[in-house]
Amino acid sequence: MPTKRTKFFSFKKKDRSVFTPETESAFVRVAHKISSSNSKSQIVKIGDKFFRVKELG
Amino acid sequence: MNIAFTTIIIFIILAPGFLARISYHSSKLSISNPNKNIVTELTLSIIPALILQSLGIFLVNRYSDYSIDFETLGNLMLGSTTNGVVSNNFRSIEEFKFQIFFYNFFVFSFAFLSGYLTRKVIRFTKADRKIRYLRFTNKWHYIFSGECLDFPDVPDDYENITEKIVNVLCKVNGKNILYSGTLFNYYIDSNGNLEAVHLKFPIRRMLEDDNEEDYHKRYYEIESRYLVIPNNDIININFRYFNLTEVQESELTSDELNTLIDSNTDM
Repeated sequence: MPTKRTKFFSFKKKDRSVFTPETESAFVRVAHKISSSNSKSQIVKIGDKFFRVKELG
Repeated sequence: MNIAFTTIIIFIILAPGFLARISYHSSKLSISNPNKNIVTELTLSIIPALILQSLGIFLVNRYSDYSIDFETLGNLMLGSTTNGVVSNNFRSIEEFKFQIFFYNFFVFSFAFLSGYLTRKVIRFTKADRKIRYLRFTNKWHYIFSGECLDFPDVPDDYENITEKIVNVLCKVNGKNILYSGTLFNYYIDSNGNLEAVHLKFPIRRMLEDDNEEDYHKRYYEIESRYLVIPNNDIININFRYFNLTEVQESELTSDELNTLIDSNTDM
């Protein structure tokens, strides 16, 4: 079972700049193609942009 | 003196604990049930009330010219019926009514503030995610927000989430339909039960299409940006937390390019 280091403070902000409504909508339509059993990241092309996608948890 | 008067005195003594609990639970993280049992609430307020009252008594005795008159307080609580004692007690209250008022006003205000600050400190230090005992009563919050990733022994961190995809399986007119979308919001009732899920950019397909080879292509878009699904129709909910990082094509390896999922062609 993986264990985590206790991290009490974090000031990192999410970078949401890439998410236009078109990007978000397109991602919903391809999300079911991303394997849950694969721990590696996968590349998704939305429009002319490339995203490295990793499922967390 | 009657029982009602004693009850009022006990209520005033326990009120700081009660107020601290109210302010601690006044957020979406806690379930606010309007049908709470007041006796249970007061019982749970005993320990915080004792702490806050002890602090108040210490500060008054240490830093003011006054001291708490436990004898009068005890007589009021025990409901002494001796004429001389009763009149003395009320004479004391009359004499120090402003001091008694301001003492209670400051203790009550401090109690409310301390409940609020305790919640803020717990949230700031993320102690509720690390320590089960400190977790708030609205369990759905941790699931829908993705903060459950910060629970012990769960890999990855909440901060890395950039997208949350929710798949909701529903029964509509006897047919199982799978709705997918990004999470917009969720709603719970006063008992903490899920009332509805609010999706953004919803798409859907029949679950029976699972058996088809091209089930990926059976999804169709709903001409709406937002969709609310009431809990009555929900069979189960699947949560997926993603981290998306934009990369340049030149950074990609040949393996990555071979396994690339193209939203323009793969749908």
